[in-house]
Amino acid sequence: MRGRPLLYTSYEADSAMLPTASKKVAMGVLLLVAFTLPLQLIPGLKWLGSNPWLVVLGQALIFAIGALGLNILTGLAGQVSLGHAFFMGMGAYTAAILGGETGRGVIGFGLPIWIWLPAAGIVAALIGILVAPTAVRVRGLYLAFVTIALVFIGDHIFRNLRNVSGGPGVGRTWPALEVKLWKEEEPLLAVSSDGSWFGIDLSRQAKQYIFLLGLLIVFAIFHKNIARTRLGRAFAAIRDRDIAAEIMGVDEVSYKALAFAVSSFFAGVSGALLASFFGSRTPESWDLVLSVTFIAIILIGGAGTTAGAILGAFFVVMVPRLVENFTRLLGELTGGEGVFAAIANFILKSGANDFGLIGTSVIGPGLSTFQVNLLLYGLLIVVFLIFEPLGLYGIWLRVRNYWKGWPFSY
Amino acid sequence: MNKELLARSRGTIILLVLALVVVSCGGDGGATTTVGTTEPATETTAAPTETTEASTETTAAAGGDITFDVGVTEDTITVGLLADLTGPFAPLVQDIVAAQEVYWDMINAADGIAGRQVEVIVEDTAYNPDQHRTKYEAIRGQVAMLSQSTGSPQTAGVIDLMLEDDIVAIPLTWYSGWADPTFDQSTVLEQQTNYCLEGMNVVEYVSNTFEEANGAPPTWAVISFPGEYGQDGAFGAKYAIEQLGLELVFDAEALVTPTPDDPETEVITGIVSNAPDVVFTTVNPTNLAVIMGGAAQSGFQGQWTGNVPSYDFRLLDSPVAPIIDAAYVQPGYNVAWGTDVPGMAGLRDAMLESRPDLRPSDAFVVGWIEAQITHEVLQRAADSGDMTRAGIKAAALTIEGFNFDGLAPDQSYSPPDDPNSYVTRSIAIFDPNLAAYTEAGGAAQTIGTAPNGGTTGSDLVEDFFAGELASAYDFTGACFRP
Amino acid sequence: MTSGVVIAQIATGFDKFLNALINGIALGAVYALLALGFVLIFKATQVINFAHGGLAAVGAFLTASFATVLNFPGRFLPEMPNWARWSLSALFAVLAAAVVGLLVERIFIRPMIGEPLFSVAIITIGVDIILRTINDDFVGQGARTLGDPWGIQVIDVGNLFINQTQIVTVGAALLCFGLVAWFLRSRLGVAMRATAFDQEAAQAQGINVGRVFSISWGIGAALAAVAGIFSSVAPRAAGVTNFTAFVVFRAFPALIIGGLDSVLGAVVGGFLVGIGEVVIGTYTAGLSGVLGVGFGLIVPYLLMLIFLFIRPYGLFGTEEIRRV
Repeated sequence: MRGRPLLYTSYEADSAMLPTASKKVAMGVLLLVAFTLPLQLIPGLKWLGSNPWLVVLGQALIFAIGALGLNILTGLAGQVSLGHAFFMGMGAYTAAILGGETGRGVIGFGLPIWIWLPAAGIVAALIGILVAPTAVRVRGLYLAFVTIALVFIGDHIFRNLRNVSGGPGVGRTWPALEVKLWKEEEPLLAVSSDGSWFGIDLSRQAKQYIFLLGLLIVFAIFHKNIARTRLGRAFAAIRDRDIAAEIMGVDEVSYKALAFAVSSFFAGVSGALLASFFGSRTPESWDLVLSVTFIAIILIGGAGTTAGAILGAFFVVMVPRLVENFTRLLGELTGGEGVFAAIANFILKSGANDFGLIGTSVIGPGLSTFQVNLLLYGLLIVVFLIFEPLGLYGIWLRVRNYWKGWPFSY
Repeated sequence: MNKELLARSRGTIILLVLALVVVSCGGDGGATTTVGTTEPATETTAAPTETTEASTETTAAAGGDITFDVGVTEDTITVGLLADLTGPFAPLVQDIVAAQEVYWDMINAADGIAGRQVEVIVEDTAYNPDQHRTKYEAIRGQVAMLSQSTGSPQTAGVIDLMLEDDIVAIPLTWYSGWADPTFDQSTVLEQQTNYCLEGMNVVEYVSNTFEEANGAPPTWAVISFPGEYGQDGAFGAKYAIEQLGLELVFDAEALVTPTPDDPETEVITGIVSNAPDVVFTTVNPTNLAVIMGGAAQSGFQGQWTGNVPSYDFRLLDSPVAPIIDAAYVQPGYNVAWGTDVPGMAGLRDAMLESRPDLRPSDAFVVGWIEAQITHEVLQRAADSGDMTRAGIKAAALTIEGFNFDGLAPDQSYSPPDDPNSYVTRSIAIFDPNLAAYTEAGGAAQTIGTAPNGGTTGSDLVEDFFAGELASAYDFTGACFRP
Repeated sequence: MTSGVVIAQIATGFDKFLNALINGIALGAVYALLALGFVLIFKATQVINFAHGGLAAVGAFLTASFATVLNFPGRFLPEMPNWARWSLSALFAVLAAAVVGLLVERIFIRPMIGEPLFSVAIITIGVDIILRTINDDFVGQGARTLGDPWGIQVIDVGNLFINQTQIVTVGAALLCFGLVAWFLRSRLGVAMRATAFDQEAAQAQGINVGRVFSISWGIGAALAAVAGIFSSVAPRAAGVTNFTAFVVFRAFPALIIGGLDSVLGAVVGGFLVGIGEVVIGTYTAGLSGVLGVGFGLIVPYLLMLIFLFIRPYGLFGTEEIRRV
C-alpha cells in the first residue's frame, strides 16, 4: 500500500500528524532550515537570519502561539472572540508579578521562567473558564460584543492596578527570557545575552529566536493533537451545529469551557512572551486592535488549520517590515535614472505638487509608511475574505494540487 | 461574481504574494526608516564634491586624528531622533523634527562637523513607552548620539539600555531626574529647567499676580498625568502651594489619563465642585481642551496655567480659544516664535529659506536649540579628537554656560555631580493673544506668506526669571520618583 | 503610586443631578444616532458594520473641511447667518458621507452576499481600517476644529448650564429620528422592512433588494456622520481627531441593550447608555480610589453584560429561533 498518498487503511493513519512519508521529509527539512536560519547558511535566505529580521521573526513566533490559541476557539469551536487581547494581558501581568522586579512603582517577585510562563497560561485559562458560561447563554455575534466588553473592562483594570501595570502611559518592565533554576545571577540557559550554545557563537536575537521556535513547536504539536482527536471533533461539532452536537452527546457547556480554557492558555503564554520579548508594555497596549490582529491572522492564514495560523502570523508580522524596506529601497532609487527610478518617483511624494502616495518628509503631504502599512493591512483582510476565504493555507493547497496533477491539471 | 473572474483574481493574489517575497529578498534587512532631509536626491549627488574639499580642510585643522566608534565614520556622523510623529504631542513634535532637519541641512551645507556630514535617523515612537524601547533597540547600533528622545516615562524606560551603550541623549522632556546624576548617570542631557522647578515658578508668579489683581491669594487645583512627566510637575506646583501657605482645594495628581478620547469626568467634576481660583495642569493640549471645555460648560470661570507641554498655540484654533485667550497663563522654557531676540533671526531666515510652506510654530525654537546643543556636544567631541560614544559623553559634560543668543537661558552640564550649582531655574511667561493670532491669519498662516514669518499669538510678558522658591530650592535630585 | 486623592464631594443636590442628566441626554443622542444607523444596516443587510466609526469620522472631517477650509457652500451665501451656513456645510458633509457609505456597500459588501455573516463582519473591520487610515491622513495629528458657531457658549438657566452645542445635538438627533420614522413608513421604507423580514419573499414581490441594500447603507452612513459631527464638538472634544472613530465602541452597548435588530431599541438603548455613563460617572467621580479612574467609561459595558444575562437578545430584539 506504500506510495499511495490518499489511501488510508486505518483510522489512525488518517488522523496521523504527518500521514505521508513525503510530509515527514518536508517537515524535517523545514525544521532544519528554521533552526539553522540564524547561522545564515542558505544563500537566498541570509537576510532573514540577520539580527533585525530575527527580532521580527521572534515576534511572529510569539504571535503564532497566540494565533493557534484563537484558532482553537474561533477556528475549531466556532466561538467568535474579540477578547484575545484581554487574555494575553492577563497572562502578561501574571508573568510580570511573578517574574518581574520590584521598582519604578511596581511589584514583582523575580521568580524564574518555569514558574511565570506556565502560570501566565494557567491564570488566563482559569479566567477563560469563568467567561465560558457566557458563551453558552449568548450566541454568535452577540458573543463578539461580550468579548469586546472583556477588552474594555480589562483595559480599565490594567490601567488602574498601577502597582502591577505601572499606570497608563507609563508601563512596566517584564522579566527577560532567561532559563534559571531559581534567582541565581548566572542563568542556567542564557537566552537574552550574546554568547555561545553548543560551541556556536550566537547573538541574543538568534538565541531568542531559537528558544521561541522551540516553544512554538511544542504549542503547534499541542494544537494539532487537539484538532485531530476527540476534543477537536467535539469542537467542530459544536461549531457546525451546536444542538446536533448536544444530541450526539457533546456537552455544550463543558466543551465550550474547555475551548475557552485552552485558547486562553495559549493567549496567556503568548502575552507573557510578547511582553518579555519587548521588555516593556503599557496597560493600554492590550486593546481591541491587538484582538483584531489575531482575528486577521487566522483569517489570512486560513481558519481552523494549524499551518494556517502559523503562516498567518508570519505574514501579518512580516509584511509591514517588508513595506518599510520597500519604501526605503524606492527612496534610494529616486536619485537614479531609468525605469525603476521613474516608478519610485511615481510612488513617492517629495513635494506638495508631486504626484505620489508615500510621503518622504516628516511633515507634509502623502501617507507615511505606517499609514501605508495600515492601509495594506485593511486591504489584505478584505481581499482575502472576498477572494480567498481559506486564506494562505488555501493558496498553498491550490498550488500543491496544481503540481500534484502537473502537467494534467484538472 | 462569476467563477472565471474568481479564478483569475486568485491567480493575482498568488502573484502578489510571490512579488512580496521577491521584494523582501531585495531588501537589505535593515530595521529603520531613514527620513531624508527635504531633498535627499540632490543632496547625495552634490555631496561627494563638497566633502572631498571639506575633509582635506578639517584633516588639516584637526590633525586628521579623530578616533570614533559607533555612528561616526570618516565622512558622516549619524544622529538619532526618537520622536513621536504620531500621538498626543505629534503636532508639536513634527515641527520640532522639521526644525532640526533644517538646522542640519544648514550645517551640512557649511561643511558639517569636523568635515563630516550629519545624517539624521528619525524613528516614530507614537509617544508609547513600548514603541520607544523597540525603536531604541532598532537604532542603537547606528547612532553616535540621540538629539531627541521624547517623553519622560518613555525616556526613563530606556535609561538602562542607554547606559549599556554609553550614549548621550538630548531629551524632549523636562523631567527633573535628568539633572539628577544618581538617576540617569548624566546620560540624558537635560534642556533648560524642569517641570518641578517650573511648577514652583509658575505657581509663585500666578499667585503674586492674582493677589495684586484681586487682593487675596488664590486657591489652587493641580491636575496631572501619572508618571515622570505629570507627577514631577505636580510635585513642584504642590511644593510651591504649600510653601506659600495657599490652599489646594482639588488634588488630581496622576488622575488624568493620557487617552485622547477620555472625557475626563472625574477631573472636570472635581474642578467644578471645588471651584479653585487657578488650575495647574500637567497634561497634553488635547486633554487640556477637553477639560477646559467641560469645566466651562459646568460654569467654571477660574484661571488656568500649567507646564509647558500642556499648551499648544493650535489651541487658539479650537473651541476653547476664548478661554485660552482670557484665562491661560503660558510659561515657556524658551522664547516663542517671533519673539524679538538676537537668536531668532537665524532661525527665521533658515526656516524661511527651507520650509516657507510650514505654519509658524513655537516648536521650531525647541527643535532649533536641541540641534544647537547637539552640535555643540559633537563639536567639542571632535575638537577633543575623541568621537567615540564615551568621548562624546565626556565632551558633553564639560559644557558650561552655553549661550543660545536669547532663545533660551544658558545651558550647563558641569560639574555633573552637583546639579544644585548649575541646574537652570528660570522660565519666561507669555500671554496667548487670540486677536493678534487671528489678525495674522490664524491657522492659514505660512512662514513664507505671513508678515515677519507669522505669529503664534504668544506675547512675552515676563522675560526669563527665577522666582524666590525655585531659586532657594535645594536641587539635589529628582523631585518625583515613582 | 496613587497619591492621596482628596475630592471633596460638595453635594449640590438636585442641580448636580440635572446637570449630569442634561449631559447624559446630549451624549445619549450621539449614541442613539450611531446605534440607529447600525441597526438600519443590520436589519436590511444582516451585516454587523464595524466600519461605522470610520464613517462617523469621515463625516466629522468633511464637516470640518467644508465649514472651515473650503467654506462651502457658505462662500456663495455671504449674507446668511453663521449658524445656517455651518448647518449647510454639515448637511453637505452628511450627504457626502452617505455617498461613501453607498460606495462601501457596492465595493466591499455586495460581493459577499451569501457568505457567512461572520466573514462579512470581519470585512467591515478591514474597511474600517482603510477608511480611518485615509481619513486620518487628511485630519493630521491633533484636533481639527469643526468651526461650529456655538463653541463653548453656555445657556445659564438658574444653576443649570446647558451648552448650546448640546441643544443643537439633541435637536439634530430628534430631526434624524423623525426622518427615519417617516422613511420607514414610506414606500421604500416598507420595502426595506420587507427585505429585512424575508429577502427572497421581498424579491418575489418585485422589490429591488440591491437597491434596498444601497439605501440602507447610505442612510446608516449619514446617521453615523451626524453622530461623528456632534461627538467632535465642544464640550466633549476639541474637534475631529484620529480617535473620533472610536466613539462607536462606546455605542456598542447601546445596540446590545436595545437589541441588534430593533430601531426603537437603538434609540432607547442609546439614551440609556449615555445617561448611565454620565450620571454614574459623575457620582462615582470621588471614588476613583476604589473603582478606578474613568469608571464612567466602562459603565455602558457593565450595563450591557447585566442586560445580556437578563435578556440575551436585548430589550426589543427578536429572539432567534433555533432549528435543528
